[in-house]
Amino acid sequence: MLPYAPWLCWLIPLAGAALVPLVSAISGKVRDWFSVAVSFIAAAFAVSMIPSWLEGITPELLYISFPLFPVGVLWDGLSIFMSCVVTCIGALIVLYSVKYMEGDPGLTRYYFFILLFIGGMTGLVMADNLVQLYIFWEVVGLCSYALIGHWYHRPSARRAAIKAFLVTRVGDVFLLLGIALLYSYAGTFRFAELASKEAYLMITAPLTAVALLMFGGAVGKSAQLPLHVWLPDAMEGPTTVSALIHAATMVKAGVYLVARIYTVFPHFLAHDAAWLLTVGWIGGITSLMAATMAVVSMDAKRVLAYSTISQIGFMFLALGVGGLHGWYPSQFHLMSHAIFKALLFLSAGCVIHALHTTDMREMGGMARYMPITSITALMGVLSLGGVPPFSGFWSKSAVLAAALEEGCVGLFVLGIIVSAITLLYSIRWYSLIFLGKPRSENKVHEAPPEMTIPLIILAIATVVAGATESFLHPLGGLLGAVADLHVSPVEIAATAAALGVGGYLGWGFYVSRMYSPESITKTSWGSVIYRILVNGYYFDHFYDRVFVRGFIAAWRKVRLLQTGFLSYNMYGVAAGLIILALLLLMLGVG
Amino acid sequence: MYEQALQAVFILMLFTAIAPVIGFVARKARVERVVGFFAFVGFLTAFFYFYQALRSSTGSLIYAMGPLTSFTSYFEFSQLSLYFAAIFTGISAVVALYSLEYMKHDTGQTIYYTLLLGMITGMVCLVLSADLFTFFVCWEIMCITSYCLVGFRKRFWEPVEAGFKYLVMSTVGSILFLYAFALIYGSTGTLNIRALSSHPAAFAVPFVFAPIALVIAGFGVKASMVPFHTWLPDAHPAAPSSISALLSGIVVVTGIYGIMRLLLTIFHPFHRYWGPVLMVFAIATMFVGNLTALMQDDIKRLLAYSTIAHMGYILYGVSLGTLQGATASLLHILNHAIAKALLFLFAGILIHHLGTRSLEELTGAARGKPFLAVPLFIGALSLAGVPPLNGFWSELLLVLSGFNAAGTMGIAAPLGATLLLINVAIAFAYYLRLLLILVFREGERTLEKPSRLLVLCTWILAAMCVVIGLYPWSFIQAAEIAGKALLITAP
Repeated sequence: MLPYAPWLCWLIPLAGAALVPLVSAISGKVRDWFSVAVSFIAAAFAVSMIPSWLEGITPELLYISFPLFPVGVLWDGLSIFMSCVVTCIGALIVLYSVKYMEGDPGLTRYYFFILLFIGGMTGLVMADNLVQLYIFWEVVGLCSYALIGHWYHRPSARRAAIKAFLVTRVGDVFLLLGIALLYSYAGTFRFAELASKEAYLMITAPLTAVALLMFGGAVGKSAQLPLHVWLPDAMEGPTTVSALIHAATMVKAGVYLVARIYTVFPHFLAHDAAWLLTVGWIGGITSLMAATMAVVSMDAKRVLAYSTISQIGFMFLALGVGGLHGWYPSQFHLMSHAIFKALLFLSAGCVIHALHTTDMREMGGMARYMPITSITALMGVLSLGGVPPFSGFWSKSAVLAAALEEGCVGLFVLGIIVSAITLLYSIRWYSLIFLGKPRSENKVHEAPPEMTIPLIILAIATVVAGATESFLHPLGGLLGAVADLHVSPVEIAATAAALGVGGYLGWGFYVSRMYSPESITKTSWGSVIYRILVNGYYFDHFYDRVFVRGFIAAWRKVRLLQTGFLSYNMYGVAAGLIILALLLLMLGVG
Repeated sequence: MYEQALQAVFILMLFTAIAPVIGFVARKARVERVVGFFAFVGFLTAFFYFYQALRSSTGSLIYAMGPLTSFTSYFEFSQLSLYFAAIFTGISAVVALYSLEYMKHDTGQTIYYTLLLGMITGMVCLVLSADLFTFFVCWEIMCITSYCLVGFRKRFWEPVEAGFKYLVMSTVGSILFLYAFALIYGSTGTLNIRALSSHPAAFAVPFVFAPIALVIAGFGVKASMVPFHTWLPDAHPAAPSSISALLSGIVVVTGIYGIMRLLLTIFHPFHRYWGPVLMVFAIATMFVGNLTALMQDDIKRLLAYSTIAHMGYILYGVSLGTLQGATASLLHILNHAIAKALLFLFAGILIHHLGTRSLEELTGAARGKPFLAVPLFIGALSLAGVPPLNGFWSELLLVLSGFNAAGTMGIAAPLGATLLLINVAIAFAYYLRLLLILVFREGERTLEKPSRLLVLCTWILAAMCVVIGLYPWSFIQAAEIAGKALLITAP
């Protein structure tokens, strides 16, 4: 292990972010490569923790005792695993940014927030107490806001940035309430102390409420129903930002949080039916609804965003299954999703970079001009669709097997349906962009090596990650023994059927063109369903009507009550005094 | 050493008295700006002394002024009074520096700085006073000077009208709590706060409700508690921006201080009666402030409504009646004073250079100007409670203390904390809107060459926000010690 790695893996990017404005004074090129260097150094520090942890070495300095709010880092498998995922993918994406963002006027701001984000996200997963976690939780939210609105000259980007910040803040209210409620009973914020008090807290504290409130925070951050509306709009940011923040890492913070509280209160939560059912079914339903929306979207990035929502729902489904059987596959799927979704976004980024559009109707036939990108994207798509032997297959079947083994038949069926739809929209996405005839007249070339090298690394990782799943096994040690999943014939048959149906439909509609999608959307039922899906089940309309326009209308009415007349204000004082006296007398007599 | 604090009080009084003389001489020599430097030096020296005294002293020290009669003035130097005095003089020093440039073109600078020094001296003496008589005298010194400062630009109609409204309502408030003081004196025969706090038996339910209600309503006017708040959205925008920063940052806080001192120190045994009542008013204050601020077009009016909301948060902490609640409120007073002064000074820069307060006309004013946008971001996000800035810590402490007070106040305290958090989320919307309009949208007028001195002042306050945000521990400790001095009677 490199010295002080648990601290430096997040302090280095934070310090690097602070230095970016200074370095940019030297020259733009130095600033770009400085950021790349910082992110790779951070990744090296993070990865260097793995061998020491496997050997069972505990570093010396893990905790600084300040009054009330202590500061510390957590030295366990989940933290180290997550910090490696964050810093490694972060480093590859910063490298990719050098060419992708070349010539952008706001690059100093861009690198500042990207490094701040990498530091903040790593700090979030390394935090050893809830307050520290919450601080970084907000820091990454701030970075997400700033980076979605990176191209702030676009009105849509400004709106999307504010929407993302506000909607996730709704979840944050729940999280902070959960933290405060837990603290009022336990008197500590530290995970280790909370875990040691579990038996006591199970009797005294309303742990179900705490866990549900914290899951509320996760719902906001991880874009689950009904707070998912911000993520598709967040695609207004640069594609690198979408890949890093809105696919691979920040949106996983919710999954991390739920997995973390699971490790803190394993005995309680494993038998808490209310919590398990909420987590599992919100995840499952989100997964299904988002997948159906992905089938009809025409924007290359929005399809991936819906797919991200759907796959994160899949992870919550796994957590809701309960027990080690569910917990471990959720983390496995988290890692494989981080890799293939970053790969898909970066591949899409190459195409968008070449064509300057995100509309898939203007793409097509890219495989001819961009061979490397198209092959890596194909690997990503197959992994997303859950085709063997790519990582997505292994992690998804682990989730499904866990659901079956724990007896959650409903969630299992939901998962199978989602798998079929996932393969369908994966094929659709790939075929619309890379196959068929080019629908744009631009001259297109393959992306430069700074962009393709990260693609190739990630593409190799999608293959390797599935095979080296045993590498993750020590992670399961957090919750006790490593469980061996028994893959039942039912699960194999169901997965094969899902892949068959999804693959057949995808092939028929979008590759061989045996059927035309219009033949379905033209029927009366088809058109109704199509309209519902295109409008995202009318969630946005609902929020706009009730919260935005409803508030403005109510405020106009209230505005009439305000007056400049001094005498009316005096009546206000008198009324206030009377209310005060009445309240006090009520309390005094009663 | 509390001697240093005493020196600081004398320095402030001396500077107030000399300022007109200096101003007169300076005007003859056609360098009237000198008086601004003079005031700045006075505030800075006083701040330095108060800060030193706060760092180096423990316990408390009582000074008697003049011969010992039943109306002798007593000054008490404690961690509580010095905590407030340091905040008051520190913010004023920045504001005086800012005024050097901001008030450059105004006439009557001598009067301006004399009033400013007088107001701050009154406030410092107010927090130092150990008996209710001195308290009331200092209160009126502060009020009279602040009326004049609100209506300072007397050529315009708006400041005069707002100043008059402020005068009438504030006087009504003063009368209400003066009546409460009379009732207290009538039932106990003393006005000394320490003596009053050690004789809770002198008061009886339900007769004690009269002074409690009068205190809450009377100080509530100054603390802009709903429904006594209606003067604030008029008075704060009408004053010059430097004065708005002081009014919103620290002058409203004196109302909170009055409520804290009377309710937490003297009437603490009756907490189970006034606690829930004050909480109801605190929550109403938050909601009215935040919801109204959402739709404002005037930048200073928006900030004024946000002040009302923050007074609601602070009153919520007071209403809990616990040490942790008082600590959270005291810390939030500090954080709010810094961040709100920052935002008002920032609004002042825009008004100074672009001559309008309308957000629509200010669209894009700070676009592409990081040295303007960064302090604005820090101030707005700090008030919105985004970590790791200072506002986050006090809002977190308020919520935590609410949940911890469930033992004494039942379900009401966590419920109030929940409503507070909902308010923080609502408030987020208008801070983001402010940033959206000023920094991100394209507008016709961008601020091309803002005055360096004005921008420097906002950077000083922004640096304080970051420092407290990144290292909150010693500030929490200071607030906690001050809270202990406040709750001397609490078990």
